[in-house]
Amino acid sequence: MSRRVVLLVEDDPLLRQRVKIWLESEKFDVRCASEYATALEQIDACAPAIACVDLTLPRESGLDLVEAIRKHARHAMLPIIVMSDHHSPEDMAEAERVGANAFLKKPFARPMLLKYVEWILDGTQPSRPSIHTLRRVDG
Amino acid sequence: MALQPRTWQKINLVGDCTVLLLAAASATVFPGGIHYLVGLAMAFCAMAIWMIGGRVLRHYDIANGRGIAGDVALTLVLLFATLFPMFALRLFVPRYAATANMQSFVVVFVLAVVWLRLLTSWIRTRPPEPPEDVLVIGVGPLGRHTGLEIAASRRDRRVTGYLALRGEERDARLPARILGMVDALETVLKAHVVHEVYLANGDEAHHAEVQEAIRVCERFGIPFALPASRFRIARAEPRERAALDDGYVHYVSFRAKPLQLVLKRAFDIVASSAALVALAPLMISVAVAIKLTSKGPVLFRQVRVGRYGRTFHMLKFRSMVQNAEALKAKLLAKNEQTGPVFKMERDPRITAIGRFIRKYSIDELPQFLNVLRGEMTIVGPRPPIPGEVAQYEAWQRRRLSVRPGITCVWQVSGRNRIGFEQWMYLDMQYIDNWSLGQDFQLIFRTVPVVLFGKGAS
Repeated sequence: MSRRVVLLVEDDPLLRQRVKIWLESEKFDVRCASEYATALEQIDACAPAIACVDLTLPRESGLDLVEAIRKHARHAMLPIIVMSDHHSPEDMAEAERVGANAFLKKPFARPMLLKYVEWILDGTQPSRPSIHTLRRVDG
Repeated sequence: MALQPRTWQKINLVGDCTVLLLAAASATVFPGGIHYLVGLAMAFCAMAIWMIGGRVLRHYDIANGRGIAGDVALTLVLLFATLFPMFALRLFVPRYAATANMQSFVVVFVLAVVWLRLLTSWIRTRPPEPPEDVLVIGVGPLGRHTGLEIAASRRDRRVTGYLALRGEERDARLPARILGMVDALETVLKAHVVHEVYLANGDEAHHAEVQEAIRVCERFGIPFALPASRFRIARAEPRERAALDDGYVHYVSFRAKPLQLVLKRAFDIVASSAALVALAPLMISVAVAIKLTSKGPVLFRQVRVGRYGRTFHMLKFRSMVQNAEALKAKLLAKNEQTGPVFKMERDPRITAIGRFIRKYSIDELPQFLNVLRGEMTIVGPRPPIPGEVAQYEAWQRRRLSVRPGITCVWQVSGRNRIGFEQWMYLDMQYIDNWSLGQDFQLIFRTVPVVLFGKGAS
């Protein structure tokens, strides 16, 4: 059985390395990108099962990336968790509007990240409406 | 009451300096007099070290979430930093060592500063009880996230309900129920206690509705919050973060003077405690007289409407017969005041002693207890009874946006000779032009009115 691929888009090398180790310990195949263009290339190359996207990237923002993925010819339905340390209600509403599936507040710990990934991949939502879930994963 | 961090810094600084002066005085006062020079030198040295140390350690920078324990720990560090050089100084200046009583300086200084820090930390961090009720307008994603954020991270607030805007997609996962459409805002504000209204939809399509909602909030004097931006901001953050740390800009319809408000509350506490002590003989004799001359309790607890429409029990000495409220219905035809208030010159329900204590406003004295409880203030619009509020016009409800008081403009300008409309108008003027100086003026003008029993009945 092939391992499921997670695309991790994060420009901070330390955090990227840490999150990569966390996910690999759970038997995920992790591909990394540090910005918009490489992220879109990676999606074409490795067809990930889920994407974790930081909202503050060096050039185009993470929200732009989410918008671009939602317009992608083959991977428009890719489940996306956005991660940010800007998390006012407005930021969350905006992430929901562009089509992200969940909002992970930074800083976060390992169990929290894994819980999010699990929710999204199983298609189960947490039992009570959590502030962090934005949209159901379709299909 | 939410205060700006800067105001807390000033309060802490002023408190610490006062404590230092007191400590220095305690160290240099002797039965025969006081060593001014030594005392001032001590106070000056200690204050200099304290302030420089405080600046370096960011002691007064309280917006950094140190918490109570952290505050006290840092205070202790600063205390040692201040006391150590002062003791070292004794080795080099023998004359100073002989005159200053260091033990009492240390004891007063340490105890007072730590106590002060605990007190201000506690006041700053304690959530108001019961929590404040807020209303969210907008049932879309922003409305939902706003409500959930309040539920998750604000111990001091709870969402009473939602109002929907026209054509909005209703989110099924809202944390509170939808009370109706935004047109019902006036009705909802009249029926519920609301401390703030979040206008959680900045879309161009709803501009007119949101504008109307703002107008209603302003007329009612209820604080409201607008989304800080209608645009997508991916990276930039506001330079002044404290003003909108929840993504909203918060507006209030009264004069927001944080420092004066704190001083007003401090004055309330000091003045009403002093008044209760000074007037205790009078109040006790009146209480005995009431108990002896008529049947029933000494104090009359009446339900009144406080700030934001929350009700409380206002205390008075009983001046009427026991079943007065029941008799009121029969007398309504003889009402002499316009509007929803009932006033009558020769009210037959008033007892003999009641007439006397009303003439000199002695019946109002127990309200200093309401002031100490924080339900009232000394100067502010009189708290109405719920029946009056139900008949208020929208603009008159703005009276409820401030803490009600014992005396106000109406009491010093002829009382029952002034009509209801005019009275409401005076109160509104008071709220809009409020200042601590004006409050003191009103207190001084109240004294002769009370002493000569003018206009009361």
